[in-house]
Amino acid sequence: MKGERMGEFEELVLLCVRQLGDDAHGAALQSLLAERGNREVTLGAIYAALDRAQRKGLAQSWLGEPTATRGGRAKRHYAVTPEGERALRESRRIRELLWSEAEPVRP
Amino acid sequence: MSRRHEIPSLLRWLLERLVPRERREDVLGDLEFSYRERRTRRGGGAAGWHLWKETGGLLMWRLAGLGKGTLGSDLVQDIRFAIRTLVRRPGFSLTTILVLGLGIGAPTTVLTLVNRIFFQHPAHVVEPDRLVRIWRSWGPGQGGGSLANPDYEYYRANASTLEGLAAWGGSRVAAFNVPGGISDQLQATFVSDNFFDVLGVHPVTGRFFSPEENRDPGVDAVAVVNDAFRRRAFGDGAPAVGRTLKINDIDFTVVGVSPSDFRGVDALGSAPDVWIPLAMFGAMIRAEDSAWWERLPHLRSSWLSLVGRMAPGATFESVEANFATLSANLTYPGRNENEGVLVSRQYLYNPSMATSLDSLSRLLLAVVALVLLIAVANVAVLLLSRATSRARELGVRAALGAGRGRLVRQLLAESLVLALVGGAVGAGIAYATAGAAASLLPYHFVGAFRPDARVLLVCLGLALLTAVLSGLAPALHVARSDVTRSMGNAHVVGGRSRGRDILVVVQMALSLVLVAGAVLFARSFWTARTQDIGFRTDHTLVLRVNLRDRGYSSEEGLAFLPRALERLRALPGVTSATTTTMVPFRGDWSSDLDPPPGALPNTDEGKIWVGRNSVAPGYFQLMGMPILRGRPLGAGDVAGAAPAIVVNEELARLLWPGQDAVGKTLDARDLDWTVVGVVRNATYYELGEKPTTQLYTSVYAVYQPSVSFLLRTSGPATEVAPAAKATLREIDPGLAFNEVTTLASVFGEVTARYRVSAVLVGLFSGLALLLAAAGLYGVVSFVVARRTREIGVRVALGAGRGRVAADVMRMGLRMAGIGAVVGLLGALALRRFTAALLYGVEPGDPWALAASCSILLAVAALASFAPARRATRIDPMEAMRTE
Repeated sequence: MKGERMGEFEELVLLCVRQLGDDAHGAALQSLLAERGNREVTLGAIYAALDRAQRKGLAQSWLGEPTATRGGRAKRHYAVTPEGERALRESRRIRELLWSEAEPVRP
Repeated sequence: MSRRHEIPSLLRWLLERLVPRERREDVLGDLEFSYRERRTRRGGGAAGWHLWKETGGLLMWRLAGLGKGTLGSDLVQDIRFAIRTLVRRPGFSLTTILVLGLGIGAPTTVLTLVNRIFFQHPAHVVEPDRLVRIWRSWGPGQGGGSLANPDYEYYRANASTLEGLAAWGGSRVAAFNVPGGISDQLQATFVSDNFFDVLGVHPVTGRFFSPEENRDPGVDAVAVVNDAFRRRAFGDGAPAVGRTLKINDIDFTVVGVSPSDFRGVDALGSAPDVWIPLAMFGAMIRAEDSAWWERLPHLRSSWLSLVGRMAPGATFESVEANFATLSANLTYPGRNENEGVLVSRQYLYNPSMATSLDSLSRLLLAVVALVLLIAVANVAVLLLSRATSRARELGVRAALGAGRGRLVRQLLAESLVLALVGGAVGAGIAYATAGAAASLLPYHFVGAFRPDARVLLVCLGLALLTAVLSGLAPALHVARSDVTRSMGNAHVVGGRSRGRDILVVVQMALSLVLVAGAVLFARSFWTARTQDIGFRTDHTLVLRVNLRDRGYSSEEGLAFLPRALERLRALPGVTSATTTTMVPFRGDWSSDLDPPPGALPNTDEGKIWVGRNSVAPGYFQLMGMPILRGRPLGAGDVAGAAPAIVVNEELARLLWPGQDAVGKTLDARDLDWTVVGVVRNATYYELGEKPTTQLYTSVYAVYQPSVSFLLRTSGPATEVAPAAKATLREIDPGLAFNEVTTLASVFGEVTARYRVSAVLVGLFSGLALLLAAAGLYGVVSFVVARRTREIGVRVALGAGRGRVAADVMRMGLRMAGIGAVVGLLGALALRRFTAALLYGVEPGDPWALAASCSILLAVAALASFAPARRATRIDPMEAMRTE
């Protein structure tokens, strides 16, 4: 299953895709990552992560209708596949398990 | 949608090539959206910068897809194929990469300098974009002076547009010792209590100054030490706060430690060792009164540099307006109406330095832009020649079904790969050479010069630009020509091509502009170095001390000087010694005289402005300044004796036009001074100055505590320095040396601004000439090789070998000649641009231009000579047999 594992950034991007729902496209993902994740990333990095996720079957994409706000250009929409959803939940489960079992650390 | 929100066309073009067709629509859409948003939020500059970053990101994205084979786009295939093709032709590839490396390396090196000079933020200073500097100005648009303490307090209390206004000044060297520890000398700077707060710096340990500590002159002897100095003074792990540091015999208590690389906002100079409150200045320099503190705003007591932090919501314009009003309301007796303040956003340099660095940067950027263009033209020729010789290969590929667009893309991909590798070489060159180039600058910068991420990104941009520009010519060539037809008869195609000739001519023309610049700057530097400045600079050591800082009364000072001189003269390697108050090119000491009847005043107020100097006997002889009439100042010219002065020619001419000055008397300071000698004019303040007045008194008659010892040495002057310092410290162990240097290096600093342009423009023009010559050689050789058969036939039909050689030479020289003419026009057009940077030579100097043309033609002749010789050796029989 090694090839199917999610990278940390990939996971972040997929969570953003999930949150944006119908509005999940490159530029929106970039803004959300900047806002919530406090990370300035380039579109190229986002595309690379989404390419990887698509290859693993965790996400899918389709070309939408052209809109006026984008100079008449079409958007590519992204969505998390059921398999992607499963992977995200699994990752969350492992994290929460590890957090709950961890010794509380004194500051 | 408004046009200004669109992506610049060049970048769009590039992006369209970078992104595969099926993704072009949405990627460009995302990019435009992101760009527009940034433009509205952060402004055009930030958005433009962001766009380049995005382009870099997209490039990385595409490259990441390279190895996986999942994004089998044309671009990836093209690049892979290009790499394979280029690896198969290592000679061609390496030559091209070298040319590109040099072409991109030159601008990257200069950008590294410019970036460091103008865009590096001072260490530990918070939000430097909100800082402004306040300078004294002496007329509209002229400014750069420091301000007096009362002025500072007035502005600090009243500037409503600033969050804080800090001051510093009085930097000096002083002897120090740690009780029970080391003793040495340190560099101290005096600062206002809010200095660190305004800059936003935090102490490493301890605290900075409180307002109380800056209130009463000479009361609170507290100091903040630099962390590096703390280690030197107290030892590595030792705490400093609370310790005592004896500086110039005053016990200071250390209250805090500043970061070792914090040095305020000045871009030049090293970090001071200790910071001391302004209020301690009078005590430290042992001023008899605390004149520095209470005196009215006045030119003489101006010693503070001011830096302010703009209040939230304030704009630069509002700060300017605020200070204009404040300055107009500031009144005091004797105030010069023209004087005011200048607010400047450039916080790193004073205005004159900023101007000089700015014009130098512009010159160098223009020069390296030309070098880059030459490299681009050169590589275009190389690629074009290769495209021509690959006509057969391209023909085969076309016949097998490759579209013309695909072939053009293929060639562009090759130039892209070459340019990226060349760009990497260029970045390497910048890494290796920026430090050396920086050492030529007329100012001394502390720390390393290295290209940072910003410079490297521009370097990448240049590489991409180069790829497009140089790849364009061959791509167009292929796009236009009928590739399939050339398959069968490859040897007929391309004897000469107009495009290639034009590119060679362009290189020649650009080289001429650079060579002309180099000749002019070299002449300018030579003129500056070798002109008669009126005194010797060789074999002279300068040691600057301030006896007032040591608390000497004038009697003590007068006793110290002859003792010191006697012992210095006795040192081995010292042939003579004297003292001076003024070191040439270093500041001035001057006064106004009421002109006697018949004199020619030289100021608007009808007075005579004179430069002053107090010197010890032997000064004129040591400096090599000839006494034209009368006698020099001697050992007998002391206080109480008949007051004697020496004037220079210019002062003699103004005071007593047409008469002999010797024996004349001058009424000043209630004394009748008698002129005993007239000395030849010299340069005192700056190169090329008009003759200025100078009046010399004996230091024993007019005592000055700021003294520079001058030692004439038989060997290299610096070798005597340690012994000279030790000798003076034997007399006074607490003596600190403000400066130990040589007259030659003082003069070197003055000429450095001419040297830097001469050396750098010289190097770059040499590089340009080399590239252009290689380009010419390549084209001529190529043509000779292509016409082997034709030449063979001509020789067989009886054409003399001399004739053949002359034809080839003529071809090369014709291109160089046309290039020279175009270049000359260019050089003349740029005349106004270079005028301000030259010294003692006109930018249109016919000799310099003629010399540049000769150099260019000589190099062109040399470059054409080898192919010409090869042409004469063509064996007709051999030539006919090949194909």
